Order: sequence, then C-alpha cells, then structure tokens
Amino acid sequence: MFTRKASLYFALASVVLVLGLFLQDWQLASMVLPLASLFFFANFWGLPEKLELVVDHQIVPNDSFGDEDIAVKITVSNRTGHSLENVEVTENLPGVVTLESGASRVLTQVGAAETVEFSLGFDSPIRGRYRIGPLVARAQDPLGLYLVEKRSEAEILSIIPRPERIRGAELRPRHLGPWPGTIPARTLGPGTEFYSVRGYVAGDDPKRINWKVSAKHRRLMLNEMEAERVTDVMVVLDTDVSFYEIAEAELFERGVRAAASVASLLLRQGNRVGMILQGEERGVVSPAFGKRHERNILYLLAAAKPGRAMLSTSYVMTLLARLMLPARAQVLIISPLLDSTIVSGVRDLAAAGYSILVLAPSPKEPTRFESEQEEIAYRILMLERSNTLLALEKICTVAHWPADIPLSTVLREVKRPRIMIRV
Amino acid sequence: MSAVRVPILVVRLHYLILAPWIVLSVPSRVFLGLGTPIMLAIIAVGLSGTLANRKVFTILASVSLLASLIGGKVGVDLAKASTPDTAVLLLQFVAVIFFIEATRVVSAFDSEARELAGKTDEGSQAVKNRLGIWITGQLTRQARLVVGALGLSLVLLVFGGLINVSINQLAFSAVLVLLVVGALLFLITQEREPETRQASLS
Repeated sequence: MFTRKASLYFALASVVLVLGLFLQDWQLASMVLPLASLFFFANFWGLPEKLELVVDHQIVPNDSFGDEDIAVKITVSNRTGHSLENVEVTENLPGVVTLESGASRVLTQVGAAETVEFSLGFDSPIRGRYRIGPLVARAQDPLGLYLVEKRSEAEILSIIPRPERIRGAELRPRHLGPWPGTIPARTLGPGTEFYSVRGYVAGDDPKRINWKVSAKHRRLMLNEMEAERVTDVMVVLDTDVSFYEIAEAELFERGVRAAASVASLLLRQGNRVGMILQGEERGVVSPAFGKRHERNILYLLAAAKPGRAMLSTSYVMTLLARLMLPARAQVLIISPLLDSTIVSGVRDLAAAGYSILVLAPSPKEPTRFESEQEEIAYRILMLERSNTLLALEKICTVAHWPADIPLSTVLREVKRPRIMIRV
Repeated sequence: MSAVRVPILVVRLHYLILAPWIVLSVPSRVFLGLGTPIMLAIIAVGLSGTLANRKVFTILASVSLLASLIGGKVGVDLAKASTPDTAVLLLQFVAVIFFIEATRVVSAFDSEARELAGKTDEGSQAVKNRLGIWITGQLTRQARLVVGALGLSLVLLVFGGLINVSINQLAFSAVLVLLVVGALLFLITQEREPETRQASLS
C-alpha cells in the first residue's frame, strides 16, 4: 500500500507543477521531475507489493505467580526471494511493563528467506491480565512511500495470585458428594473421626477393635468412624470495595488472595469448587474438580479489578448459586461487607438450605484522615458495616478477618454455629 | 556503528548548511529583508529538533526549508528578479527531500538507541548490532535513490531542452499537467492500496 507520505509528496508535486505553469516558470515546473523520479525508483526498485512476511510472538511463561521474569520471543520470517531492507517490528506492551532487555521497537533488515528472532524481557508485573501485542511488522521502501504491514494478534499474560497454604475451616454443608473427602458426612463410613461403637462381626478389621470398651462389655466391640465426603462449594468474591477508597487496593488484594487460597485448598481436598467474581470485572467458573480447574479459577482471579458492580452482589450470588450448585451445598462469600444489600442475598440462600460461610476482611483504619468529614464518613461506614455483620451473624457463620491476622488462623477459628433462621 | 557516526552528525547538523544555502540564495527583497532572521529561525528550530530529538521541530524546520525554496522561487518570479540556475535549484530541492527522510531515519535510530541504552544483555546487543546495520543501509539507499532521482531529472531536463517546446500555449500546458499528474498517480498507486488508519476499540 502507499503511505500518507506518498500522498503528501504527490500533493507537493501537483502544487509545484500548477504553480510553475500558472507563473509560466519552467524551472519551478521542472521540480516535479525529481519527485516523479523518486516515485519511479521507489516503485520499481523498492518494496515488492506481494511479499510473504510471517510474524509471531510467544510469551514465556504466559502465566505466572509473579515471581519470575517474563520473556517475549518474537519471530519475523521473510518467505520471499527479496531482501527487505527496512523492517520495523513493534511489540505493543502495557504501560506497567518496563523492559529489562531488548526493545519494544526493532528496526532491522530481513534477508531473503531469512528468519529473525528477537527477545524482550521484563520483570513480572503485579497480579493481573495483560495484553501483549498486537505485534506489528512494517516493511517499507527506503523513503517510506510504500508499506506492507503484517500483524500477529495480542497474547494474554496472566499473573495469577499465589494460593497460600492454609488449613481448612470447618465446613458442614448438608449436601455431600459420593466420593471420599474431608467433610464429615454424619453417617458411618471410612473416615478419621470417631462416630460410635458396635459389636464385632466376622470379617471386621481387627485393628478397629476398641479394647477398653470390649473389656467393659465383655465382648469384642468395634470403633465406627464418621464418613468424610466431598461437597460442592461456590466461592463468591465481592470486589466491590469502592465505598472505601483509602485502602481499597490492600483490602481488595487480601480478598483475591483469600479466594485463591480457599479455592486451592478446597480443590486439593477433592471438592467441586466454582468461583463467582462480582464487581466491576465479573466472571464465573462453574464448579468442577482438579488441577486444571484450579488454574481456571486463578486465571479468573488474575482479571479481578476493584470497582463498583453494575448488578447487586446479592442478586448475582443468589441467581448463580442456585443455577450452578445443588441444593444445600456450601457457599463461601469473601466480602468486605461494605454494601449492606448483601444481607438479603445471604438470607435467601440460607432459606434455600445452602450452608454459608462469610469471610469478611476488615478494612485497616487509616493512620490519618484528610478532613474531619472524611473521618466522620469512615466512622459511619464502619458503623453500617457492623450492622451488616450483626445481621449476617444471625443467618450464617461469619469470620472476621483483621488485616494483621493470617487467613489460616481465622479459618481455624470458624465453628459451625447452631443457627436459627428467621426468614 | 562508528562508521555511521559522521553521516548521522551531518544529518543532525544539516540545517547549518541547507538553511543559509537556500534562504540566502534568494534575493533579500523577496523575503522583505527578513532572510537572515528566517534562516536563523530555521537553524534554531531544526537543530533543537535534531539535537533534542523533538520530531515536531524537525518537521517544522524541514517544511520551512521546503517552503522557503518554493516560496523563494515564486517570489523571484513575482519580483522579476534574476533566476537561479536550474540544476542548483533541483539540487537544493533534492537535498531538502533527502535530509527530510534522513532526519526521520536518524530520529528513529535515536529513539531506539535510547531504549537500548544501558542494556548489556545478549538480546539487546543483537538488536543494537542490527540497528547499526539498518541505519547504514537506510542512509546509503536513500542517498542512492536521491542521487538517481537527481540524475534522471537532469537527463530529462536536457532531453526536454533538446525538444524545445514552448509552454506558453495554454492547451499544451493543460495537457502537460494532466499527463504529469496521471503519470505520478500511476507511479504511486500501481498495484498499491492506500494506507489505512488502525481503528482502536479501547
């Protein structure tokens, strides 16, 4: 294709020619000759219009926990018989990326049938999903009058949150799957927790004989264990922290890390886990098992951004949990509880029989306030939050998570309350 | 890389040569006696553009040079002053175009060299080497193209002089304009499409 510069030179030639003829000045008119000659040479000895330039880029690794360097391997192949003397290769990188090695724009020659490889390197950015590219290669003639452009689509670099090693909370949903897991099933079966004793019958495992009870009853008695099964869990991450802008990022990141850690733990224990991301960036991962599924959840969390949700958390959570979870399964809500409307959603889910655990990261109190009004606003907000907490504690289990306490400690303290649902 | 330093320096400082040569070759009354201030202004803007790598300034200075050249020639015609030699005029015109393009190349080289400054890894070194080869090749090929264009123009001029056709006839002039514009359009657009701007949805 011809460039805008070619059009400008054409306009210049036309102006010079018209001026020359208007003023009857053949010297002025003759200035069109060098321009015409330049076009002639550039067209016939410059860049061939039909050329096969193949560009590709690859991010290594394309997902990371953020503790390693990222490399972008760029390949430009000239599959024509002509040497391309003026090739500009531009990799479009997000603003947060600072290159440690290589350059995002490379000016080079690519010989006939030659493949050129470049590499860019940068430190892993913070958690997020980044578009690397598109990669654009422009082959031009020496004067830049003609140009052939090839593109390679943008690739996604996901910096996923690293799940922390945590110990599980005591989840007691009434819905349990058929496979062995870690959730006490209130029935006899293989497990680790004592359930009852019964008389020994032929064929029982002698290792399970309770000798003390046998001595007391003067016949062989056997320990029976409580079965432990898996369950279905939906983790709801509420990223709507825009009520509290002072420490928004910190509060939000805690929520994301907690969601990653809890999802990872539950999946390791064999449960079916789904994730609802609710906030400015919305997303859903249906409940499923396995390591690949854990990766899917982490990819979703990589895209999480703090901000106001278009739809209320209460509505989204109720709708999706009912669509995706069997009745009486477990719902785990991670929310700073800055929006009191969440209570109605939790109440609906509890009424439908779901077991609910709310993990509420508490905002850190600012060291100083910009103004008195800001401090008053903060106090009111915290008061509203306390009311929300009180309302929720009547419906379900709520775990307060202060900023300086490890998540593992908070979850260990969670006990299933004897709740009385008032609908 | 060191071999290309001299041509790069010449390109950066070319306003010091071109501006006096073009502006001062026009009779001073054409520029209303402001030839020297215009020249100094072009030099100042051009040098601040090339030395500080400010693209806008270099474009402004180059366009001013081109305008001085064409405007000067028009002014000479209107003032009925003595006309310069045609070959010199063409040489000036071609020199301005060459340096416009060369400045663009040096500017691109500078911005990439700045991005690579201080990077000593293998990948960056390879890119630096390629950049050195690229700029040498670019400046050489541009010079070749411009010299070729100048040569062809002079040959065509001599050839036209031999034919010795008067352009005072209006009909002939109109036909000549149409022919030249048609030829230029053919040269530009033959098997080529116009460049399209990239739309962004972000």
